Amino acid sequence: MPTKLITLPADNPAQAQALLTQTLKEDKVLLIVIGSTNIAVNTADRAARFTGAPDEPRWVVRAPQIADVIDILKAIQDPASLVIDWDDTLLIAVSITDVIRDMIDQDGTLPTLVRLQTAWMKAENNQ
Amino acid sequence: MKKHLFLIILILSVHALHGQFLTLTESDESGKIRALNDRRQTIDINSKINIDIDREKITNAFGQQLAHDGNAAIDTLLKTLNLYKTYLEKLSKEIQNYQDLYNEGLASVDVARLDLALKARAAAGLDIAELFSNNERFNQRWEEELSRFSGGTTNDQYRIILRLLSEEIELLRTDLQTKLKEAGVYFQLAAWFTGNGNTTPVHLDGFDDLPPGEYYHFERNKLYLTQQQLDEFKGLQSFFEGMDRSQFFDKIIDAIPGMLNNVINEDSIQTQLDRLISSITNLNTTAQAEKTKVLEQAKKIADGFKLLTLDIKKDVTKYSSGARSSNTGSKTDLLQNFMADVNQVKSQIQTLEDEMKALVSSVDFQTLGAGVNSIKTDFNSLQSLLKRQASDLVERATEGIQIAIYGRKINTAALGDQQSGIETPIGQHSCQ
Repeated sequence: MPTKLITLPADNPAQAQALLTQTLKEDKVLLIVIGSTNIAVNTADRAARFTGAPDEPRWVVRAPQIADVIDILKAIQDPASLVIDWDDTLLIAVSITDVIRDMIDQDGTLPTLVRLQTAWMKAENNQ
Repeated sequence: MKKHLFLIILILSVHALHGQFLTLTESDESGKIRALNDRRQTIDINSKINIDIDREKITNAFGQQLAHDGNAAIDTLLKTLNLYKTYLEKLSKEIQNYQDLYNEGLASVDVARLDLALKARAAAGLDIAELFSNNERFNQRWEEELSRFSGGTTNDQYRIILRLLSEEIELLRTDLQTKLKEAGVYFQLAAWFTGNGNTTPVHLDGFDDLPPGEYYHFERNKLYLTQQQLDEFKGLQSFFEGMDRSQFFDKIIDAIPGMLNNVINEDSIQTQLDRLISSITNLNTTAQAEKTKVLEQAKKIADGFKLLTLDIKKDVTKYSSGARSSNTGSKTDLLQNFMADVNQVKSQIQTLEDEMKALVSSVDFQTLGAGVNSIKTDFNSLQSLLKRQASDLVERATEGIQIAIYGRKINTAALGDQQSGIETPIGQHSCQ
């Protein structure tokens, strides 16, 4: 089964922005992973294993260059103010209605699979 | 002269209540029945005695002396089991709802509806996760299950949570069984044979092996259930017994054809066999008789292998979704049949392996001359390959079935000791 992981281009801001915008517009439940560290890459891969069937709404996006897409990210609704500092954020969980419902920060450790499950569930719970 | 037994009833109480909750009747050889009402009775040695114990009367009689701690522990247990039951039902329902939606085709479902279904399912999952957020075992098991997870749907991930919850329920139920066993009243009954001026104790099965002295006082930390609590437990037990495990079955049953398909690396074994046979055929040797013998046996093994692959193909068809029925009862049968088929395949492989071993040891490789060592080596490696694949097959099949039924691999030796119902320690006994 092909993985539902979108890696935004690292060297083409316009394309990265367009792709992220488009993906957000679609009816998807997203885990957006930020950065290019080993942890970021591994987290994106691990999260992608739980995206389910191709026609299910879960997808993973990894943004290797946060600077390119930071404006779009900042514009995503965050009513609970889960994101404190984008530079310290490893992953956000975005619901199907484009609201941030969970955040995992960068603390030097790889999030456990259980933690990722919780992120997926919080995104789906959408509240 | 008739021999008599002195029947002495020692009762777990300072009250002489035996007349109220113990009913003894004697039926003698001629079938005549009489009630035994005195504390000390002589009865005919050839009679049968029936001892009827009225549990309700006992529980009521001793109701005032229920240990308060014990009661609280039982209530907590009851509350927890009821909670687990609620969560189990909720998540199962939402998994099914999402499944129904999915079967409609998610692309055609409107976002608001999809959002609701996702939300309901996720909320149920999060509730369970929250319940066990401080439970190390639960979270370790969850991490384990997730690390083994590959492919599948989001529902499959939620089913993992269901399985883990059912594991927790099993653990509690064991706890419950223990507590129920402790809840009860114990009797000691003793008998002596008198004759010729002697008194000899007579062993009564199940009645005289309690440690002496126990019947003179309650153990205050024992737990006594009221009938209502007992009924509630029984209700929960039968709910959990009847839990629809078919949803756990689906994935493993779908995996069976794949498992069978992959068990034997048919192509590589076939290739090796073909190569072997052609090496033997092309062997330049003067020992023609020996060569013919080897060739024949090798061909026989090759035919055996072809039969095996045909049987596996038949099994694959048998277990593919088209051929299967869908209710829980036949799913259990299906798994049992599957195990039987797996064992059949395994023993066919075993036979091939043995034939190869026999062939290698019977062939006079010296006579056949040069070029023959590589043939011998090839046979040996084929043999070990088959042996490995046979044991892999059984191991993976067993594991798969255990996961399907129990949600985890189990210690099968321990499983053999488990009882399926509630046993009260008091029941009807008869002795003679």
